[in-house]
Amino acid sequence: MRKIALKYCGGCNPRYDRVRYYQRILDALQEEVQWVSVEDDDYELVLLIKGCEASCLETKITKTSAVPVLIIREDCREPAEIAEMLLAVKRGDDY
Amino acid sequence: MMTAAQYEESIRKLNLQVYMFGKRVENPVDNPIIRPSMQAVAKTYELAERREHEDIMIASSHLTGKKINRFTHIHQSLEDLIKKSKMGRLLGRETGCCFQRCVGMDALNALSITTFNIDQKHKTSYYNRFVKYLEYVQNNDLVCDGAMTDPKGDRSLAPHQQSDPDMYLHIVEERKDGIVVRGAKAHQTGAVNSHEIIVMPTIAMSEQDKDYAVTFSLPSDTRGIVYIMGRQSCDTRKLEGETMDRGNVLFGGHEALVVFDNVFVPWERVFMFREYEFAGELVENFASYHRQSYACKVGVGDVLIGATQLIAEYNGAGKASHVKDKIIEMNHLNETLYCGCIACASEGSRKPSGTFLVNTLLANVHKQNITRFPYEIGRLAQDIAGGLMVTMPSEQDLKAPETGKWIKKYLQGRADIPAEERMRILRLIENITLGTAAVGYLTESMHGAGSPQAQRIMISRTVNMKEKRKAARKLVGLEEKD
Ligand SMILES: Cc1cc2nc3c(=O)[nH]c(=O)nc-3n(C[C@H](O)[C@H](O)[C@H](O)COP(=O)(O)OP(=O)(O)OC[C@H]3O[C@@H](n4cnc5c(N)ncnc54)[C@H](O)[C@@H]3O)c2cc1C
Repeated sequence: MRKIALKYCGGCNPRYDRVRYYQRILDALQEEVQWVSVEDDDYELVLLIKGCEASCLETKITKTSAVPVLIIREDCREPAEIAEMLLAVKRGDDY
Repeated sequence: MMTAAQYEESIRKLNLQVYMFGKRVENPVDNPIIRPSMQAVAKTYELAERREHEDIMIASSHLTGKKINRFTHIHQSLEDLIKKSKMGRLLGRETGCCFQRCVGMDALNALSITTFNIDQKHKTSYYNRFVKYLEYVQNNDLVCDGAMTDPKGDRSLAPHQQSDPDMYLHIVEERKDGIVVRGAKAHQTGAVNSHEIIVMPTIAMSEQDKDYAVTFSLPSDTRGIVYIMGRQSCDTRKLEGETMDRGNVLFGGHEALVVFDNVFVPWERVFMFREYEFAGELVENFASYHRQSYACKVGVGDVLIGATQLIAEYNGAGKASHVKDKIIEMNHLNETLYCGCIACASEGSRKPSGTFLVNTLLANVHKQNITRFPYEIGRLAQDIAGGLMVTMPSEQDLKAPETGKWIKKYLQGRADIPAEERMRILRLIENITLGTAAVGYLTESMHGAGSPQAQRIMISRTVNMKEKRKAARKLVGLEEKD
């Protein structure tokens, strides 16, 4: 089972409902995934869900993360596409 | 950290002496007028529990390294200051009112600077005391009321010149184990939703005022502290049972007059004692932080703009070009306010104690805009809403069989929107622009953290006029002069 860390930005002024979008990604996942926090260790990638384009948290996470970071900035992509990417990404892949 | 439910329970346990409408309120938590304000404070706990907001709501304590609610944090970086502004907007939007917890955070941060500076000059040990207190606040995730404003009596007179010496809170007795104080603090936001009260002087002071130069903290239910609830316009609608006419059916704010009737303060809770020359510094730093805190009005502005857009659509006027343009103007003003609170945070600086302080000039400019723009945003909202906002019958009339049919028929706007939905949005606009929430959105914007003139004085004191003069002379070929 894939182990993925979920991280949201703080959501001060999000342009879409980040939690609902995450839920849609979950619904679209074809395999079970173990969701952990970025403070845990030993996960294969990070799903960073941001509410807008601003890179407040993004820079910090991408700089320090040893694993690939899949960044969501808007909800225009089909959740199924994101779900597929989450399962396909390999350690060392660059997003 | 506490959960929202634990917070409610912790407030329930306090033995506060609260009065409203001439009677003692034994159970403020469940009082229908006060409860929405408690719920607004509880939101500061609830959002910290939610993963999608933790990056803003939670900080890491510089004292213990533990995760703490940002409202108890001492800003350690520009990023912290920026997150504070963002947290204000977020909570303003989530509650649509004053969530009351910023003032205590601002008091803690201002004290972290001034207690350190007093110690540097006087070899006192206020900073250590303060740090112990701060750790207690952080570990227990407490709400602090930041109590600065005195009743002030005759505004043209200094504290020691007042005919009634209690017009400014002052020291009346010095004992081995502590001090006794008397006076009052006016307009105290969220006072009866607070675990602690932090008292500070309200103006710069001279030696003659040294008995008024006192700063301390106390548990909010300390003997001798009396809370007299302030009224808000339309407040008794909360007693009506029905909720629609409140506008905001979930949240509200409150203020109280807090009387200190010969209250004992132990030394370990005293953070300034007659060091009158530091009163001005404390007031200025607190005011700068607190002026930044008006980031919350941007969040309330988001709600009001959203409601205005909805009512325009429900009225069938959403596509009119002047309506669209007015909504653009509302957004322009609201985002200009956002620029101010982000700017003063981004241009902050590190003080000797290690605390980061906002840029004072920009914080004052931001607050000066706050004294104006919400009024204009409110005016535009009322323009678009139409007169029904203030002439609409009550929810009881909507529900009564004799009148309900007429109300549903004649209060209908666009055919596909039920009259009740239209009425609810109108009530929300009423609530924010002239009901209970207008206390926070309008008059607090005017006077909270200091009336407009206080910011103009600070702007004139902090702006660099010399450099501006020099720049002008240089461009016309005149020699630079100091
Ligand atoms: C909703 C709300 C919430 C608040 N919450 C808090 C809180 O939580 N904690 C807290 O400590 N305070 C709080 N305040 C108090 C706020 O800081 C004061 O309202 C503000 O400092 C102005 O003081 P005042 O209301 O006494 O008005 P005044 O000081 O009487 O001002 C009224 C007018 O008189 C002018 N004026 C006053 N004195 C002078 C003078 N000497 N010379 C010339 N002009 C003068 C002012 O510029 C202003 O135009 C709150 C206020 C409001 C409205």
